[in-house]
Amino acid sequence: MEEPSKSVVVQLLDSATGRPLQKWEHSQCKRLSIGRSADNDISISDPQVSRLHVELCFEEGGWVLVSHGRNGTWVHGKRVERIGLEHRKIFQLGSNGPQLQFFEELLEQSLPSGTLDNFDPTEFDFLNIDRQLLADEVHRIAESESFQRLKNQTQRQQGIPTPDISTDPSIQ
Amino acid sequence: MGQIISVHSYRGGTGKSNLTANLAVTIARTGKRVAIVDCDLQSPGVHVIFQLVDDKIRFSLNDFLWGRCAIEQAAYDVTSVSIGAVGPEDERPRIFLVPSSFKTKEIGRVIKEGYDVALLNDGFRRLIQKLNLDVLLIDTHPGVNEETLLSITISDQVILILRPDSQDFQGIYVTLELAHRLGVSKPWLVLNKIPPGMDRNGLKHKVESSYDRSVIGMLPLNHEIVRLGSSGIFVNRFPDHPFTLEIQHIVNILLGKETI
Repeated sequence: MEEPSKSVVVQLLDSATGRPLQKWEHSQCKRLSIGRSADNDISISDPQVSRLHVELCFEEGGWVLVSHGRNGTWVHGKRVERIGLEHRKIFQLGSNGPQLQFFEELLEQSLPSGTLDNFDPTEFDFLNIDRQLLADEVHRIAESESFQRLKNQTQRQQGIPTPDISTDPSIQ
Repeated sequence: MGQIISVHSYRGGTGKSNLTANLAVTIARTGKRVAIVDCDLQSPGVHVIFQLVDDKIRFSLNDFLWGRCAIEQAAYDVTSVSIGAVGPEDERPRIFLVPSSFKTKEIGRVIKEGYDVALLNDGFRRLIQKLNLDVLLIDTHPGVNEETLLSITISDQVILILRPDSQDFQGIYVTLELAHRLGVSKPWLVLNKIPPGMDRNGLKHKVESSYDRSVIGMLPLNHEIVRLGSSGIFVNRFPDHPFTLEIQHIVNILLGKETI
């Protein structure tokens, strides 16, 4: 895609229910600014929002979010500086600030049906696993005395001599 | 020899006890002798679904763990309340329940003192033998503590139940990693409380590709089951409901009657 989408829509979501509260539609643009100042393309009056908080830019065939806000911009609980913006992506201005959702193309075709306001039925990004973070948790439990005891006991029962347990092919 | 199936979740509120109860009834209806052991000693709940009230309970799993009784003395025949009239001499179908104590004092003791988890293993084996069970279902305590991991390692099949939400997703990853280190092969996944309208195929693909494990059940967020609360067996009350049909599908896979 070389040209920007015909239309870009940004929706302000109710943080409790995910329901859309307000929407802004912009056609044929390559850059959108969002912030507290009235001179932004999208102006949001909220103490968590900086005067210029984010810019949405159309670059190399896709939309990119660039954060400038002092309180950061957050996607799925992680602070982001610069991130690709897919259709329906939700981002938050400040860790407790307003949530916005990004749509390409026409709003009528893009929005989920009325009962599905608080999630996107086709996107499962929110279910991504942070393997690095969880590796520490796994390690902590696996190193505990009770886990080691259980592991040794299991190995004895299964007749596995080495400490390296691989999946037993007989139990499928 | 009967098989052991444990049902586990990383967090509370996933619908684990309800799933266990409905699986038990559906399995028993295929002509099996089934028992459930409520190993959620810190927050027991299955007894409510089977309407097992305090004055009917002489011994519980706690009494077995404290050495006050043999485990089979804590098993109660709940066939009539969950399956209906079965001839008194008929061996099958039968459902037994080994409840955890729901007395505050007993729960407090478990939390404070813990117990010898190795006893559970012996108890399960003995129960299968004494009650001549085809299937023993274990309703585990949520999380990854010692008794939970023990239940997983001694089970023939393990079901991990999760909701499509971020915290359950992270937690199940931890559980699967630990299970793998214990040599537990291929736990099954069941998704519960899927909101209406969510792309089921997309969700299934997401889960299976994230964990490299098979999803054997996709249970809808179920307003009827919420209304029923824990006061009955859903598959009995709503035999044609999509939830019930999905439970049937899970049971067919567990019993080897269907492949994925």
